Amino acid sequence: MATRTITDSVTLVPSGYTGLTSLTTNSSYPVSNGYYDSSSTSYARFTLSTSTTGYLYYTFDTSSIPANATITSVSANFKARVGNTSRVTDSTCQLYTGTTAKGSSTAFASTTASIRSMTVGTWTRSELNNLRLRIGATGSSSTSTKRFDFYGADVTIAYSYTVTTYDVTISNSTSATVTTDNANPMAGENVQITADTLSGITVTDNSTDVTSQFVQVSSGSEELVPDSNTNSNFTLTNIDNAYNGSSNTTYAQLQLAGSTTGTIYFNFPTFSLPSGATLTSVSCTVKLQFNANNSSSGFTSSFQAYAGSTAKGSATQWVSSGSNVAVNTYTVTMGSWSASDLSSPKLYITATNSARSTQRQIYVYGATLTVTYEMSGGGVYVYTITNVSGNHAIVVSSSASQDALYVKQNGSWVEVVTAYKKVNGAWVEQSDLTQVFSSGTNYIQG
Amino acid sequence: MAYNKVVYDGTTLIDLTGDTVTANSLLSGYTAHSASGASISGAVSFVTYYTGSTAPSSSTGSDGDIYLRTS
Repeated sequence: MATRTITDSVTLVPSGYTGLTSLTTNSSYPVSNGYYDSSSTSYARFTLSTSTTGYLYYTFDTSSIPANATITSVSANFKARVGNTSRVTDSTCQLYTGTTAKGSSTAFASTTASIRSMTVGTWTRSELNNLRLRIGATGSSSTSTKRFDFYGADVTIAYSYTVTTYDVTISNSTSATVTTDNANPMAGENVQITADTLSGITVTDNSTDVTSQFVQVSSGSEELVPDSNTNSNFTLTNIDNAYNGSSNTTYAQLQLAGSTTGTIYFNFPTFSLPSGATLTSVSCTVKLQFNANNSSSGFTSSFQAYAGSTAKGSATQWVSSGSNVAVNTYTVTMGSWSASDLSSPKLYITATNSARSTQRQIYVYGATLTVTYEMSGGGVYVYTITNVSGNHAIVVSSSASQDALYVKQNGSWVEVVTAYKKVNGAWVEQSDLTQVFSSGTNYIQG
Repeated sequence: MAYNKVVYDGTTLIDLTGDTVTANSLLSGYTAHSASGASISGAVSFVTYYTGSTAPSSSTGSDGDIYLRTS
């Protein structure tokens, strides 16, 4: 048993808001559109009354930062704009703890949205419990519309903390035996295994009185970055946020451009059963949130377990209703597994965004693989693998449609960004531009 | 019985036999007489398409209409 200092960082985006004062929100550009990082292209819109100062606080979930952490640094970026610089004044963003300002405010007095940074001072861990971003402005005496738009923000918090860990002995490159410094870990405690390679690690539990144990497999010297992430239609950011299991509160963000299909997968570490053990069950959960951006065009996803390249069980299908949905933990249908299948367990997530111009996001919090086995001498053991190995959550494929539609306006051809058809009294966005017009129909300009 | 040509005392008063109008070339909502003299109702309909730079208003158009947004 030893005490170890771990340095880490987390990047958070707004997850809620509070203190809305003297601002009118816009249902077409809701406050929740600000729940993204500063690279977002969607925005929340706020309107000010004449000669009135309005503001609100976006809030952040900092629960993933250990309670005993020492905060090393806090940096923040945000993106906003005003509708008219003479009608909207004193437009600023600033970090707060509760209602106490921290650092300096930064103005966004421009009609062009751009990413700005803030100085944010010195923080304690307890101050982060109430981390907020205050965004506000003052409306002039003009009777014209006075509005500003907020796109999103990201706050990066670097910290260090100490943990008690049980060391392990690496017997060779493909196996490790938990000796735990002659101490038995208790249920719920961490056994941290560090190795240069994660492939083929054998975990042997020498403790006899522990029937449920959390095994955390670290990535050693490997970098937690995607192998490839080159297709601009399908981007994966903050990927290291998704390596902490399906109870995780931080997430990686998958962004799908219009008319795009893409796939990622979680690559769980190899799990080798101890000699004489009989595999009882394998289960898997994945925590995801789908953001349809309130577009009714097709947005679907499926997730399926694999043993190596062999699909296991049946795919879980998710179909968007057009509305954004809350974060949810989905149980994967695993089918039948053998001990050898655990040499390369994977979870694939495929998503298709059929909207022509609307971006969609999937927030990937993490996945957990749970293996239960029974020893020949008695005793049931449950291992929960919450880390996926670094360097393996990758973009494996993506594709995008190139269909386009043009309309001639004032002598020039202009590309149609979005086409709609009216159905049952409502305009419905069309995902397939080749089907908007048909050869047997006459058309007249309205 | 439909008539498509009227001759009186050797003089042709009206002659539809050379007319080319058909139901499929006549706007829906209008009537005419074909070359055979039969009454026909127009069958040609149009789908209205609109263009604009913002999302369409719910009050615009009818079912089946198209809206092309360019920005």
